[in-house]
Amino acid sequence: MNTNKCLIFIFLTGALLLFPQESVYLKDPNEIIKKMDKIMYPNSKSELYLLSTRKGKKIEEDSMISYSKDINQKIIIRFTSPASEVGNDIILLEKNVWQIEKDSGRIIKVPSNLTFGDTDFSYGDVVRLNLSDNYIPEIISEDNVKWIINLTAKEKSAPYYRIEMEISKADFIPIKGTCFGKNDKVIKYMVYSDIKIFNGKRKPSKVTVTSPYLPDDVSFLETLSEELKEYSDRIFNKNNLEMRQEENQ
Amino acid sequence: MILPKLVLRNIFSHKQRNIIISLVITFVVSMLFIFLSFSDGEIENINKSIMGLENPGTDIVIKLKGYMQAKNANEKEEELDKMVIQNYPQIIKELKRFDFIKNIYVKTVPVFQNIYVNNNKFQDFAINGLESDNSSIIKQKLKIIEGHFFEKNEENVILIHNEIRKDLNVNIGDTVTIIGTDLFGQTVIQDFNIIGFYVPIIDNPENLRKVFADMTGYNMISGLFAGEANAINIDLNKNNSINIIINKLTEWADKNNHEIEFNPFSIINEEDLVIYEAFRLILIFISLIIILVIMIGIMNIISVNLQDRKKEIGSYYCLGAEKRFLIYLYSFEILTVNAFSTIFGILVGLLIRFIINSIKYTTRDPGMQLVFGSDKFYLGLSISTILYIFIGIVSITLLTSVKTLNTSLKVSPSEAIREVEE
Repeated sequence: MNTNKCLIFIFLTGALLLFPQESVYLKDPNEIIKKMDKIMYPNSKSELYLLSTRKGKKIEEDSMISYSKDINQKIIIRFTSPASEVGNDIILLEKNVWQIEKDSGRIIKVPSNLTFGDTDFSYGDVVRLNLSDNYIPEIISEDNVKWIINLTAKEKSAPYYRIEMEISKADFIPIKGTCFGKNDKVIKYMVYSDIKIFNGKRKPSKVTVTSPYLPDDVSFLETLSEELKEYSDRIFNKNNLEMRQEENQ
Repeated sequence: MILPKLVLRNIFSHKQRNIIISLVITFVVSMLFIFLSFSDGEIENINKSIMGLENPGTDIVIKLKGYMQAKNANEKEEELDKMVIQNYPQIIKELKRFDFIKNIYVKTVPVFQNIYVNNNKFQDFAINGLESDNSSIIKQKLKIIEGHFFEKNEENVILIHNEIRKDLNVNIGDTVTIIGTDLFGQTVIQDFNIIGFYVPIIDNPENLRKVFADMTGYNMISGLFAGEANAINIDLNKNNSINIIINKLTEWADKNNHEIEFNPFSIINEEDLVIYEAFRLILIFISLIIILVIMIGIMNIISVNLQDRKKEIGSYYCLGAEKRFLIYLYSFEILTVNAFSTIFGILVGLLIRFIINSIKYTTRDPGMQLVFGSDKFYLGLSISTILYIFIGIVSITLLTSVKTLNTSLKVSPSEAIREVEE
């Protein structure tokens, strides 16, 4: 028995040495962030649900379908409920967020930190400007389970000046994020939870956002479904907000 | 010389008719004058209240070089707001040496932010930056009800409108957190200490959500670095030509390698007051229609009156007068009556204006403040209003009289002579 145990031990050690976990090798924070972005934001069609509450009471509830490409560099968000929001769709293009006003048909540029109604959830949080393109990462600490990576904005137009992300070493998925202003004050917290399998990959289906200044307000964005899909570039343009060509693909 | 004498004779020989016409025109003119003075007053109030705080009238505005080119190319407002002047304290220091400059101060664009206090969120406050020592123009337009204006060493401090303090439930010394988006689209956050509550000298509902911050605090929430500014305003001493000064300053800037341009205030701010000026145009159009209708009525009276003056007309024809002379004569007669009535109507309007303004009616109702342009009901006065009314009456009189008289003076010579014989 002891011999068998030893053999198993030697076998496993050898296996680990010959085939180590990818995370053991990855030390480049850029690569970590890129891998995380790739897992979190594949080219896909997703169903999203946003709920905001204040002292337990619902203040905002939206259902959306997103069509995304190139690690969220191109995203279209179509509102499916409530009825008042259906038609006020959003597109993210070249780091700019555009929205169509359904009543006038006008397409206007909106700040990516414009919030959904009275919530603290911004359009930037929903269209999820990817981190690798907008921030410079730096590993500030790590343990066996996670890295803590500091992300500093590359440009003045990035939604937050600095984000501190905890990323799981096992799955390269985010655990928690804290957004800071230029003066190092916390703006909001993001907690990633409800791990599910989407297209064979484990990732959090829910991100919960809270603010230290409004402790009674809680918002979360949940991914209900995700279908991997390749969309052509031509549907990612402002005119398509009206034409809805992605529905024919 | 005979024409004026005949005109005066005709006017006094038809006293009753002319008195009635004069009274009608005096009344209409005085009402039109009050109508348009209301619009003048609205614009003046807006200039002194909202614009006075946010965008005070000045002579020259300094912007980053290329600003006007971008603006004329229809660049969006948010992109124009990102064009900032570098090292403005040095620029102001150097410009102060010019003796033609009376005042020079930084002008910021409002940044729209939310205020978080006592676990509550209050949305859409316009935060403007003010320097403690260079803001006399704005300071003159504010009355500090409680607290004090910024002092030189104070940082991250704000002044809030006194009407809002109850909603926010705050007092002097309280700290509020301001969170929002800066001029470049990044989320910003900053704690501010309340040092005072203000009331504008001339108030307007749009001022309620105006917050004034010191420049350090403003820079934090606007995304500007220290030394950056959206614009610098220059007030000149009197009797200086703006265009000559602009040329001088442009030369100075080029010589000292400052990437700035100088523009007259009127060119930078032509979009301001668009709504109220559009409203004024509508009022002018309506008053034109009123004048036209009144004059058509008056000319009808005159043509009826001329029917009764066939004897007089016949006499003129017998004396060898031509139709053209008679048209001049009667047109001049009507014009004289109308012109004097207009002047009298304007004087009556001025008197009514004086009486109404001396009441100094004020209101706290935001709806009424929007209509008045501020919290004070004020009838303004502009030369353009007086000239417009006078020229309007005179030109419409001439137009209507020529047309009417042409028809009314078609008296056949035989008919005219018969009238004379009778």
